[in-house]
Amino acid sequence: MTERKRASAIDVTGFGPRPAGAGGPDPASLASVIEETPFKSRVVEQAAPAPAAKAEPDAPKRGRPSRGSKSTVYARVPDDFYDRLQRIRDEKGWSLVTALERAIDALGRQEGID
Amino acid sequence: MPVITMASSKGGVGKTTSSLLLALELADAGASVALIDGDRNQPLSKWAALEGKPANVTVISDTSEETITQTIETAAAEYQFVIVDLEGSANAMIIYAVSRSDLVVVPLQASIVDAHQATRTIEAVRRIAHTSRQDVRAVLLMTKAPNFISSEAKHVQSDLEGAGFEFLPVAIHERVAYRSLFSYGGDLHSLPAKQVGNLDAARENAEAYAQSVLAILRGKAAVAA
Repeated sequence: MTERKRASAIDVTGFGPRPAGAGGPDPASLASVIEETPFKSRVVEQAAPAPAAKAEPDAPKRGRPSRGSKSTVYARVPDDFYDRLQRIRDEKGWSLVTALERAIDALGRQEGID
Repeated sequence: MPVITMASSKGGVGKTTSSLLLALELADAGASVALIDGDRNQPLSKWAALEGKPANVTVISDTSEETITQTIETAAAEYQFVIVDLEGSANAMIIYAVSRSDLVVVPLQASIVDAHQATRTIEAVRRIAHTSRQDVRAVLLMTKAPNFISSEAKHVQSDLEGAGFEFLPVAIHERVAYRSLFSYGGDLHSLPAKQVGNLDAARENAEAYAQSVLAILRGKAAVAA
């Protein structure tokens, strides 16, 4: 069943199409903004190489097996981990890095590491 | 004339729903509206393919980083309102879209994680606007809000307002009707009332949301004049 609608209370008078030529800066002039802003490019993303193949299926699992949500989680990172993280931030944007940083902070808090 | 961009570096915050509701309310008031679907999943195009799309709403889906500025300019010269829905990740398309926008709306849910991402998006928008010398207003929009205001929502909003971030005065509530638009197509007035509950509340909320956006646009125009 479709109800008969009442008239809209929204007043859109005064808003019309934008005059031609009232757009904004030349897109080419935004190149510096793109460099300064940590947004990744969809074009770059699409051109990215395929992810590396997964490890051998029968490879031994690393770390301790999970004992439920209260078990302690250990994280070991290589010496150049934060340099790599920075590189990912530069290349891919911030969303992934933010998630990683939060995970690392959470692990640190759990382990009592500042 | 106004170009309104929905942006967030995080997905699932309600950008597409916010875009569609605004477009439908403006169209219901008689305006011609272009919806630019910048999400590669094309949710608005899928909605447009269903029955019941208002004749004065046009969905433009064929756009990319390379063409978004031209797409916006062409639409802005033809339609009264242009609404740009970007995908939920941080990519360069937002920079081009912001450079052509009058208002950027950054939806977020009442969580610290969303708040953090949303403020970073607003700061990026301000940086883009400053560098490109554009007068772009950026506001936060609370989405998927329950009927009651949770303590976390109050905490998030007061913290962000205290830090100088502006909120739209109306939040978009969590409503079945909003999700149903993407199943049934059409607008809030064409949804089947027997299958979709609480339609009146959804319509009131959507109308109040659209009015709050228009109030900001009118205020911005008055300041510019």
